[in-house]
Amino acid sequence: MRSYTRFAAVFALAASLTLTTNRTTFSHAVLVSAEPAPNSTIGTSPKQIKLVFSEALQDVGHSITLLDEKKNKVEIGKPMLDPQDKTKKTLIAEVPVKLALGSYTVEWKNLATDGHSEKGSFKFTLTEMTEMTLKFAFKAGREPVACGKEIKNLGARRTTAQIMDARMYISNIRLIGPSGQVPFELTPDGKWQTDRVALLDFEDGSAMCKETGNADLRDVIVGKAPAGRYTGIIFDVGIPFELNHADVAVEAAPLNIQALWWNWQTGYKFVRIDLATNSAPPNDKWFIHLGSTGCGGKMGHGSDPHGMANKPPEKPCNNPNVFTVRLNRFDPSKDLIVADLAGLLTNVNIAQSTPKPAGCMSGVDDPDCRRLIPNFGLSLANGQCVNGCRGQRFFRVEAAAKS
Amino acid sequence: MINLLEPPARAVLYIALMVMVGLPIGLYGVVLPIFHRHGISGQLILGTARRIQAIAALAMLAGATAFFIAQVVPLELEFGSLAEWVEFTRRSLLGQMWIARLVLGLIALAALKLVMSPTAGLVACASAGLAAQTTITLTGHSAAMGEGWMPVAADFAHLLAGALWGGGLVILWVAVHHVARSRTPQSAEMVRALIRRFSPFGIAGVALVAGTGVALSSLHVADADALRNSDYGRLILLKALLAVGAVAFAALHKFATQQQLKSHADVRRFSRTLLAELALVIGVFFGAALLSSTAPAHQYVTHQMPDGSTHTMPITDPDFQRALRIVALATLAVGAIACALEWRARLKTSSEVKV
Repeated sequence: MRSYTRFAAVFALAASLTLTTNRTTFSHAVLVSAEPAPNSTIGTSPKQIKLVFSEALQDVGHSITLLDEKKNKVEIGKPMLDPQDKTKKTLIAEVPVKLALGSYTVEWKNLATDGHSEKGSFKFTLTEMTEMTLKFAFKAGREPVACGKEIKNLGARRTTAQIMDARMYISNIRLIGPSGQVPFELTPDGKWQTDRVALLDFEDGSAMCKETGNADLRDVIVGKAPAGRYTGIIFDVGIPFELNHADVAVEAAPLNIQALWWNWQTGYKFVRIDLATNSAPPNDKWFIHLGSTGCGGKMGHGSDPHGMANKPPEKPCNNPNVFTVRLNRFDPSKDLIVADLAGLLTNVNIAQSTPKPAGCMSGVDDPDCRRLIPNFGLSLANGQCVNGCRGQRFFRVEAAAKS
Repeated sequence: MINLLEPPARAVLYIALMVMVGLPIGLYGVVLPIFHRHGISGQLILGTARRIQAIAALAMLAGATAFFIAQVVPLELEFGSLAEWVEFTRRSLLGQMWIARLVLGLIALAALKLVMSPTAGLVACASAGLAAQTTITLTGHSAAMGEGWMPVAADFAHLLAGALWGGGLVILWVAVHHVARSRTPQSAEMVRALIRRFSPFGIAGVALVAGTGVALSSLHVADADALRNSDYGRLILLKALLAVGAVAFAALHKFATQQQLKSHADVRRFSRTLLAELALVIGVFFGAALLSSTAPAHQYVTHQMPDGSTHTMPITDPDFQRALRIVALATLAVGAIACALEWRARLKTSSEVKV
């Protein structure tokens, strides 16, 4: 009998240890995405509300309510499963009326296949959008940089060089206004911009840019933002993770440029600036290729330590190397955003390159990256922004010349 | 937040189905052959089994209705008329499954009451139970994932194996209790034979429960942290702890009690420890009911998109999930080998007995 009592005591102790201490709360069918998206600012009245959940839903038992700023109900259709979604995770409700400008709240309640219900709400804003063009320039200090033009006094050794390539991807643009940040909606054009990513191209394929470049130039980003007065801008230089690991051969422009792509796992080169210096070979080339690294298995382990496999990575890359630029005192209607090569190469010795490859290819153990990567505002060790990337020296605002 | 009405309703439903499905298998696979071999009529135990099945079928009707109410009440449906309620019941999976369970429960009751042959009645009842287990699987967390038939099949196998183990234990206990009360001189030998014959069923049930349980955990728990820090993860651990306790009793019965069973007093003592094992298995079913009422430990991360909006994505630890799947496969493989060895040993013993 004593042994049973001991068994019961040990069991009770184990059970109490299992059930006590801190815990995290989880939900059943979670809202994964929506159209209009939560917290989004949109320019046109939606024709339907579409909610995508993490679990399959029952045919009935759901509700979607649309409320305007004064909490009045807006008449919308009955929620139903989206017939297009075979997994039964999507609810849709028609919006038969054209919504007035303003802020709206979507309240939802679902009923999952497992019989459990969740509810929640989110807001979106319908606003008037105006077209804007953000202007960029590529310079070294005050001097414009172009193919075939020598640039003097670059880097720690005041080296003379000229560009062989100069392109970069920009994403996640927000304008800073009196009421905070607002999204800058990219206008897809089938060549330079998708709705998520824009390409800036400062080489024209002439002189030494012939090898990898082409004739087209692009120094603007076109999009829409809510009408208003803005005093600053925030953007990312790089491609979001979910778009970065695609097949360049089948992607739409501008994500179809082979010269700006490493491989499926590592993804794109967010910034590519190739320099030909006046140093003697083998130090006559200095390449700046910024992109995600550590996207394979665990570094140094497994069958794919360098992320060369023809499949997207299973986990986010160890070093994302996407950097955020925040520029204050910027008026999008007048000012210029300058990508300053001289600033980027501050304290970087481009007169020599040790060891191979020539220049910095974003490798954490490449000595050439040691001085360069911090100039993007990034940590070389983990590819994350240091202090919000405030230390970046690449981008600055150049105020429009007073007429 | 767990709906307080749901776990007890689910538990009643699960335990009723465990009995409806597992008891006939244990009765015809284990108990009756031993009774026949020892020249004891099976009529009495068949009658008891029928009564237990009838109670289980009634419990299933009550559990299914309580479960339906428990799931509908939190929905706060604002229906103005009876027609709207009927429409909801007709079109929702909740309502459809409730109706299906009611029909199956009534079929089981009718079969037990009206069919003259006890075997036919019990088989009909077990079939109704099996069909009702399918309705549980179709409205479980695995079905809600919307990821195809594999998780649903694993869920079904998990429930079935639990029924095989738990329902088998119920009829084994009834048989041992019956033997203990009958005070026949061969009671100890009979109980030893019962334990020996039950072993392959028990091992198969435990291995399948454990293997599919670990595999299902890999689907519903994002990572090791979620296993420790979520209600869902902790309930899995609690359920595993109860199962380990029951397995400890089973091992005690197989490796110690079976050899030591010599007298009638040993049989009575075994009857008590068998009841303790059964109590722990029923505890596992309560754990399962709580688990099915709790949100799975899926982790999500919310990204801010370029337009300022937010988008939520699931995140999992593939290494953790891979490890769990390997453990699940290993458990199933070890269980299959142990079951085969046990079966072979049983066949050897029975051929020696015949000689």
